[in-house]
Amino acid sequence: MNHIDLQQLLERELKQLPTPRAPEALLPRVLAATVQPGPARSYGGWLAWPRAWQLVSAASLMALIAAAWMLLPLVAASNVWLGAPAAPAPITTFVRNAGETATVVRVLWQVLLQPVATYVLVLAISLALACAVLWTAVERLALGGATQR
Amino acid sequence: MTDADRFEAFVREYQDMVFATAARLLGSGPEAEDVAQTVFLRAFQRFAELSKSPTAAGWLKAVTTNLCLNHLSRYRKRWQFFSELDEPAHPEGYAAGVPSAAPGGQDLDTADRDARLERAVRELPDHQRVPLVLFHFEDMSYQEIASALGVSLGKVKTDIHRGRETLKKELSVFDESH
Repeated sequence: MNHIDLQQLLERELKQLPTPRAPEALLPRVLAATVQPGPARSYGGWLAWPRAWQLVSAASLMALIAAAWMLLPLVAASNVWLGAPAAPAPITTFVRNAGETATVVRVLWQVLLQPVATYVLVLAISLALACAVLWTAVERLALGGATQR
Repeated sequence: MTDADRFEAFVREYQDMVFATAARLLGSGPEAEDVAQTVFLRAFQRFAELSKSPTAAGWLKAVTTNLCLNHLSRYRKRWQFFSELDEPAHPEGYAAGVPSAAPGGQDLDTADRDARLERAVRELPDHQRVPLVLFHFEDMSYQEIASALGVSLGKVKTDIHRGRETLKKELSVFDESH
């Protein structure tokens, strides 16, 4: 039997098949779902924000961190203000500790992390790209793309 | 007649068509039921325009087909990776939803044959069943199927041909035994 005959045979056979009936439960399910209030809109987090908002918020956060980075040591170093008799002791202590912490973090960054940061970043990007390429290859070759849209 | 009544009548009118499309594409009754519910919920959201549209059936079919293809693509890929070596697409019982009893007045052999063929369609592997159903039941061309599935024209033709061969074999077995 050639392709055309087979196609015509199956066309005939399949066209005469009765339409499968929907289960009895489908109609009540649909009607019940239409009267229920919709699920509460879930908060998708920062990733669900509009792109412009994401950029603005990320830029704001970086600006804030940069400002803190630059200002904290200056504040901690301003002994005149810190030493003023009017400043309450807990605040003075907190500002001094914050300044010292910032200094320690900055030293750690410059000594330990900054020299390798570029390499780590490049490595991370390369691994991410490799994973993406590998997954795409697996999808196309191994899965055959039979159900892709 | 209230809106709720009109929507109920709408679902009653089209539920068999939507369910049949989904069941044949997915090869599974329970999954088809889920998809059919989603289709009707989408229809409900735009029921005001859909209820007056002469192309409501076409809209429902298109949405059903798209949801089924998305469903297959999203939930079956990983499983398919391990099992697409000409094994049956579904575990035992997947096609259990196919009615086997003859409807009143219908010849018992014909009903049995139809049920067997319907079951055989549902038991085809996804990559054969989906293009075959799109071709024979949804009247899509080979080229349209290839575009919809994102595969080559040759693969579509091969898969459909293999599916037909399997179905023909199934029918031959039945005809020889009766």
